[in-house]
Amino acid sequence: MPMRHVLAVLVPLLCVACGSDTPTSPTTSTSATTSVAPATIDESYNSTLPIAGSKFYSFPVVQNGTVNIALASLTGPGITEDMTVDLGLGRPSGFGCTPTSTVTVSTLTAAPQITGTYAPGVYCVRIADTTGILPATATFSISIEHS
Amino acid sequence: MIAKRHLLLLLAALVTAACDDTISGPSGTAPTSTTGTTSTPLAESFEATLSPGDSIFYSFTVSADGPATATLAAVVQPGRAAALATPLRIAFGTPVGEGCEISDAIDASPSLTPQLAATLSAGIHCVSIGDSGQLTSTVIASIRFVHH
Repeated sequence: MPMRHVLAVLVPLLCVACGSDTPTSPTTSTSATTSVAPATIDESYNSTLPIAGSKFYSFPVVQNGTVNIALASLTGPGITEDMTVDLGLGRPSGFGCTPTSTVTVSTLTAAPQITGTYAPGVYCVRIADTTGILPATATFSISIEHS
Repeated sequence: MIAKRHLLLLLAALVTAACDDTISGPSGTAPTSTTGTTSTPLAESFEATLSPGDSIFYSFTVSADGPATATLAAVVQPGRAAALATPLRIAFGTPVGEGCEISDAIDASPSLTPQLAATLSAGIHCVSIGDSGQLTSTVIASIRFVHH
């Protein structure tokens, strides 16, 4: 066989043998459904909030599920039920709590004021008199329902 | 004829070598492999002002299970440069309620080397610094901690 015929056969073989290394996707796929557990654990955060101050409270979410946060009460000298404070839900970070969602609420606001589905982990609720509207240190109660 | 045979052997070897998908390390070294993800240790630090009986905590996120250390690096009195040897309680824990629920703790004097070591799982943890009962006045403590 002439040399050029040998080359003519082997060079294409080399190309074909090494030309199909492109990864392919699996032909089957699966889909995972994450269940959402109901909020079965109730906690109350009772403390005081100074004028223009803030406080936070950490709690664990054990399984993926619903979290409900509500300002249950806010009382003190000169404090009326329509007086608002900021309520936030987030993660403990540094010396405080970094909220990922914040609402401005009073005890007249329909509860829960913050609700959502959250993955397992440590979370925190933060209450703040951001605008310094409180006339005096307030006594508050926050309801925390989680899974 | 001999030349053709040699050419065929050479080309066959080339095909075999070209199609070998084995990943090799740098020339002259054995291939290396990793069996899991690794993360680079992260160093953080903070200062805290403590009065007798006080404690304060700092929350941080561990991205992967691994060792962690904490160092009480310095204790000074406000407005004074002289370092104190006053021991304080340093601890690792988890943020719970209004505090840090302690899991590992030690009373230690300031040092250049870590006084507290623990293994922390991925998630949010806290490092706490507090009076171990020996503070007689307000101090400023510097804490350095390393985690994954």
